[in-house]
Amino acid sequence: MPEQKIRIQSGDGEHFDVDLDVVKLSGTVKNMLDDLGIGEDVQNPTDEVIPLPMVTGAILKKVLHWAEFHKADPLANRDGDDDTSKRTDDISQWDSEFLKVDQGTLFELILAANYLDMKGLLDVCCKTVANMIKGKSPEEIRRTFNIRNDFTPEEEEAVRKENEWCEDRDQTTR
Amino acid sequence: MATSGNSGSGNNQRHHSPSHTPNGIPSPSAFSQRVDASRLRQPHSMANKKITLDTMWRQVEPGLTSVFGLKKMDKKGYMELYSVVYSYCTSIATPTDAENDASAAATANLQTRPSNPTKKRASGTSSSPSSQAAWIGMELYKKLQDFLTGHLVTVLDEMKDYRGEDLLANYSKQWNNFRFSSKVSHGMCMYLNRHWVKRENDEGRNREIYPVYGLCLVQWREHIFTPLENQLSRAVLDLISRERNGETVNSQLLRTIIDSLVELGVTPDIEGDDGLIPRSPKTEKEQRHIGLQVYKNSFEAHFLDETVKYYSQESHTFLASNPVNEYIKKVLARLAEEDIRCTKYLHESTAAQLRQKMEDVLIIQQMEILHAEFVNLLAEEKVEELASMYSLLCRVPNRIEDLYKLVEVHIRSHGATAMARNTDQLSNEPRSFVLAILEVYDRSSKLINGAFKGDHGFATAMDKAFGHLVNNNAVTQFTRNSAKISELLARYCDTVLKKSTKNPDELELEESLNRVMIIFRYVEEKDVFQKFYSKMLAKRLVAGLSASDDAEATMISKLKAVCGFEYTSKLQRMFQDIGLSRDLNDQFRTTSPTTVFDFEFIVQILSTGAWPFSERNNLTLPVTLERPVNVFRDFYHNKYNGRKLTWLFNLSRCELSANCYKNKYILQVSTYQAAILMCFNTVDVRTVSQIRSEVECEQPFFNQILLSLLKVKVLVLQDETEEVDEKDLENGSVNVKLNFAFKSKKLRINLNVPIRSEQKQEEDATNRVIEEDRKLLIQATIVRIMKMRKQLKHQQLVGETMQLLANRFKPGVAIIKKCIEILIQKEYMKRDEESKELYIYVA
Repeated sequence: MPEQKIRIQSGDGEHFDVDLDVVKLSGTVKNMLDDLGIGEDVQNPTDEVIPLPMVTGAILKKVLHWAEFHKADPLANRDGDDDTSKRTDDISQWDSEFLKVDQGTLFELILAANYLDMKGLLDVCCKTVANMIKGKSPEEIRRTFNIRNDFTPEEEEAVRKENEWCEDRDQTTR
Repeated sequence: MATSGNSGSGNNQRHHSPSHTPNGIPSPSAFSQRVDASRLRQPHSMANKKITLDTMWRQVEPGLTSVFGLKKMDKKGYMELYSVVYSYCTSIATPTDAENDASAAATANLQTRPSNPTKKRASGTSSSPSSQAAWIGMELYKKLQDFLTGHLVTVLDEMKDYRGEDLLANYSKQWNNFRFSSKVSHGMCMYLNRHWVKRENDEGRNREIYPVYGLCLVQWREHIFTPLENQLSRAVLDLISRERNGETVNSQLLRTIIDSLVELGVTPDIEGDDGLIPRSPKTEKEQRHIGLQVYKNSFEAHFLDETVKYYSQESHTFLASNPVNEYIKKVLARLAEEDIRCTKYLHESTAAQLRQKMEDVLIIQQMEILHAEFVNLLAEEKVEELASMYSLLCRVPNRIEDLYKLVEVHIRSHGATAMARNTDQLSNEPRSFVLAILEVYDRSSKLINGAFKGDHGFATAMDKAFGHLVNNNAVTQFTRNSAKISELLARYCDTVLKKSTKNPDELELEESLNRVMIIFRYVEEKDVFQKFYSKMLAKRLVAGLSASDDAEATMISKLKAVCGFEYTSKLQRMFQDIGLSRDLNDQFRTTSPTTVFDFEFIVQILSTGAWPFSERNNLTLPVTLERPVNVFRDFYHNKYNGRKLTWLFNLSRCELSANCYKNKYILQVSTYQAAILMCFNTVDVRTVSQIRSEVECEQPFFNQILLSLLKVKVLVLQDETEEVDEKDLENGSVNVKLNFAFKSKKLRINLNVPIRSEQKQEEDATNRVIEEDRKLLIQATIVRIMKMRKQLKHQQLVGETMQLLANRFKPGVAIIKKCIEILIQKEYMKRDEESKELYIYVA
C-alpha cells in the first residue's frame, strides 16, 4: 500500500498532499482525524480536504518542510519535555538553518505552530526568539523588535521594582 | 555602577555582561510554554481577524447542535469550528470593551512573566483584572455550559420515565452518544483547552474550570446522573441480583453504566502537565481513590450492602436444607462467580472489598458449622471434602490455625491405634514395626498433601504428631524401653542390608533405605540407633555379610546428611578398615612364604575405638593356626612399626575339612571350636580337663563351646549319653571322643552359632555403653557452652544443652544436673558465690 496521503488546504487556497504521518505532527489535525475517524477516505486522499484557514500557503509549506524532516523524531523530542524546553542552546543545526528567516516569517511560523499545535516547532521557534532577546538591554530589545516604549518613567520604575528578584539572582550567580 | 543595587535594571546588567551565563535566568523559555497569538501581530497574518463573542457563537452553536444531534461532521466543518474558536481566543479585546490599554499591560505581563511560581502567582493576582480580560475564554466556556445544560434537559426528559432495565438501556445508549459528541466537541475546542483552560488551572485562579470534555461530564453528572441516581443504582442492583439468581443478563450494559460512574468522578484536580505549579502531594491511597467518589458513593456502597444481605440470606437457607459439603461447593462456586463479576463489569478497586465481605458472610459467619464438619471429615479422612473445606478456610485469615491442633491430635490418635493393634508382633519383628509406622506416615502425608496442599502449618502439625508417635507408641509402652524403636529400626536396616536369598534389587534397596530415613529423622534417641547400627554394621562387615558395599556407603552418607560428620565417623572408619584390610591381605599373600602354611589365611585389621568389639576370653591357638598368626604379626609390625595388634578370637572363624568321618565334611566353626577340634587331630579320646589345659580357655565359656560341639554330635561323651548338658562337664575327667559315626545331610556344616550368654552380655553392654557415652557427650556439650558463654544461669545452661543435643537424644534434666555436678567436681566450672543459680566457667 502506498504512503497514505492527506490533502490540506491553506487559508489562501493552496493545496498540499501530505503523508499521514507527517501531517499528524500537528496535534490539531491529529485530534481531528482521531475524532472523526479517517477510515472512509483512506483510499482517496482528495476525497475531503482539510482546510487550515489560519495559515498561508507560504508558511504552511515551510511548516510541512519542517514536519517532513522531523516526522521520525522520537515522541519526547517532538513534544519537547520539560528539560529540553527550558534550554535555548540546544537547537539542532538543521533547525537553526531552517529558522534563518526574517522576523516576520519567524513570527508567522510561531503562530502557525501554535494554531496547528506543533510543540516541537513552537519550542524551537520560541527559543530562537529568546536567543534574540538574551543579553540585550530593554532599549536594544525595543530596537530589535521595533517596539515603541509606551511606559512612563514611573511605570518603568515600577516594572523594574517588580523584577528585582531576577536581578538579585543575577548578582548571586555572578 | 553595573551592580549598584536595587535601582539597576536586570536588563542593564545583562547588557554590561553579555557573556553572562548562557542558560540565563529567568529562563526565556517560560515564554515558549505558551504563545499568545494576539501578541504577535503581523500585517499579513491571517490569525487576527477580529471576532466577537456573538459572531463566534453564531458559528459554533449550530456546529455543536449537529455534533450533539449526532449529525455527521466533516473535516471542513470541524476545522472551521476549530479555527473560529482559535480566532476568538486569540483576539485581544472586543470592540465593546474599554480595554485598549489591556494589550499594553498584557505585553508587560508577558515580558515579566517569570518562571518562579510564587512570583507568578503574585503577579497573576495583582494584575488580575487586565490579564483576565486578555485571556479570552470565560464567555465561551459559559456559553458551552449553557448549551450543554439545554441539551441535557431534553435528554433527561426522554429518559426520566423509564425504570429498571429499560432505564439502563436508555441511559447507556444516551451516555455512549453523549460521550462521543463530547469528545468531538472537546477536539474542536482544543484551543480553548490548551490555552485558556490550562492557564486558569495553572494559575490556580479557578479550580472549577475543566477542559471541555470534563465540562461535558460535569454537566452530565449534574443534569442527568443526579436526578436519576436512585433509579439507576436500584436498576443496576436489581439486574445484578437477577444475575445472581441465575438469569442471564446483559453484562455489557452493566459494564457501560458502571464505567460511566467511574468516569463521572471527574474532579477539577487535573494535573497540570507543565509541572510549573507544585500540587500538594497526595498519598498513594488518596490517589487511588481520586475520581472514584461517584462510583463509590452511588454504587459500590449499596452494592456491598446488598451483597452481604443476599449472601447471608442464602447461606442460612441453604444450610438449613443441605449438607455442609454441598454448602462448601456452593460457596466456592459463588466466590468464583463474584470474582468473575468483578472482572466483567465492576471497577477493579471493588474486588478486594467484595471478596472480604463474601468471605465474612459465607465463611466466618458460618465458622461453627464448618468447624464441626471439619472434625467429622477429619475423623473419616475424607481427603477430597477436606480439600474443598481447606480451600475455603484458607481464604480467611487466622482461622486455619485452630485446625492444626485438630489434625495433630487426629494423626497422633490414629497412629497410636495402628501401633497398638499387634504390639507383640511389632515389638519383635523389625520389619512389621517399620512397615506399621510407615503406613501411618503414608496415610498422614496423603492427608496433608491431598487435603491441605502441604500447607506449612498442617505439615508442622503432622511432624509433631508423627515425631511423638515414633518415640512414644504401644511398642515403647509394651517393652518399657524407649530405646526399643532405635533397636528395631537398626535391626530393620540390618535385614535390608544383610546378604540373604531375597535381597531386593538396587532401586528397591535404595527406596527401603529412604523409607528408613523418614522414620530416622523423627527418632529422638539417635545415639541409641547409632550404637545398634554400628554393632550390626560391624558384624556385617566382619562376617562379610553385606549385600552391597554401595548400599552400605549410601546409608552412611544418608545418616551423615541428617546428623553430621561426627555421628557417622566411626561407621565410616569401619567401612574404610574393611577396604584397607582387603589390600593388606593381598600384599601379605604376595610377600609371605607360602611354605609356612597351606591354607587360606585372612586377617582383618580393625581400628581400636571405631569398632564396638572388645577382646574376650583367652585362647591358646593350635600350632597350625599359631604359625600364620605369627608370620602375619611380623609382616604387620614390619610395615607399621609401633602398632599393637590384639587378636579378637571371638570374632574369628575357620573352615575345617574333616577327614575322620565317612564323608568329607567341611565344618564352619569359630576359632574356639576349631582349637578344641584340633586337639583331636592326634588322639581320638581326651578328658575335658585335658582339652581345657590345651586351649587355655576360661570357664564357663569353655564348657559352652565344648557343649556346642557335643550337641551336634561331632564329638560325643565316652559313655554316649543321649542328651548332654553342662552338668555332665563339671567333672573334668569325663572323656570326650571323636564321633566317627557323625552324619549330616549337608557336606558343609555351620557349627558357629552364637552362644546365648554371649548375646545377652552384648545387649547389656550396649545399654551400658550408651549411658556412659551420653554422660560424656552431655559433659562435653556443657563445657563447650560454658567456654563460649563464660557464665550462665542454670536454666539457660540446661536449655542450651538440650537444644544442642536435640539431634542425638533427649537428655533428662536430672542427668544434666548430674553432669554439671561432675564438672564442678572436676573444676571445669564453679558456682557463683553470691548467686547459686549462676555458673562460671573455669579456664
